[in-house]
Amino acid sequence: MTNSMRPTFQPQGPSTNCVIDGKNLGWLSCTSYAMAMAIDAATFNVKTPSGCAVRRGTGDTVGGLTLNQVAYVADNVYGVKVDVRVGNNVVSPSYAATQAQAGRGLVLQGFSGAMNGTKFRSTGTGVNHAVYVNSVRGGTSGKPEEALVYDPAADGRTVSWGKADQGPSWWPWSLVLKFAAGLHPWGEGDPRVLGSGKFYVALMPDHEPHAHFKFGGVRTTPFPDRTRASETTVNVHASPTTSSATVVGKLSKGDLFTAYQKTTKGDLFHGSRVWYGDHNGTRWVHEARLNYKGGST
Amino acid sequence: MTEPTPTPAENELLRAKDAARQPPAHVAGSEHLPDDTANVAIDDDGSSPNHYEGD
Repeated sequence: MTNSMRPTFQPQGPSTNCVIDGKNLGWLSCTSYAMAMAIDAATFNVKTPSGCAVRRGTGDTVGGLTLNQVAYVADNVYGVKVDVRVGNNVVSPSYAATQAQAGRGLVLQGFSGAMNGTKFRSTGTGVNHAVYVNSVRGGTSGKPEEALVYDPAADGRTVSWGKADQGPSWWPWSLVLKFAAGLHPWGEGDPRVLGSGKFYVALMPDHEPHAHFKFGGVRTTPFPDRTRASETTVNVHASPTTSSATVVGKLSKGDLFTAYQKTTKGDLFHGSRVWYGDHNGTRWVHEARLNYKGGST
Repeated sequence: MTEPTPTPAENELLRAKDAARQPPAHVAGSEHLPDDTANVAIDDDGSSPNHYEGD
């Protein structure tokens, strides 16, 4: 699928892009930058931490980071539950692919030397690295054709070895496999590599926008549509009806109401039968009580 | 009220979600892999690992 939420690309470099306690950590922080973009997509662009903020949340200012470290920050600081699969708990590439095909993002560790010799190159010498895989397309179940990869080192810079790719880019899935298999699990100083058949990966929550349409609801445009309550107090109903018996909540003026569907078959109010519904179709607000419809807020 | 008929793209996604509900199988040969693999510094031009001078 290709219509999933996408994050804003974040380059990790230069080294001064992330300074904590006087230490220039930009080039050491690919895992936190990859996770920051994953959080952005997983929260439908609501929570958009910088990679440096994620790094700061780990409390670690020495060397690189592990997936467990940044997953802890995702959960405890940004409320995003992450399934970390490393060590004796790794998953197969085909399993990770099915998760991506179902709308989950992947923070994937691997070896950047896999991209050397391709237009996706982003580093000089190969190093243990991390990228964010937002979505996949084509191919078959468990074996997609391509992946939309946000490589935080792919910032388009020109250096002695050439020009780095500018992310995000659609990688062949075969390159994703090569990248993952090249990881040095015991560190750069140890020649052993992970090999094929295993992914060191953090599986993110489903970020594929979808809705459970009810009461004649159809997709909003954009999808979802971030609207705001327009009155001092706005009733939220369990169905698109004006009855006080269906009121299930209240919004204050300016409160966010994320609409996934709208119907033209609701109760008539102020000359209109148009109501906006939430993801599950169980919370509805009349259009007269919402601002910023059809746009971004 | 009934839900509208899903589009082909929505059907494709629903099939993918059904397939993805299977729990992951244990991967043979992973018993002794470490949990704490970290990324390392990007050493873009062969300079010191903690000091990037490429841009």
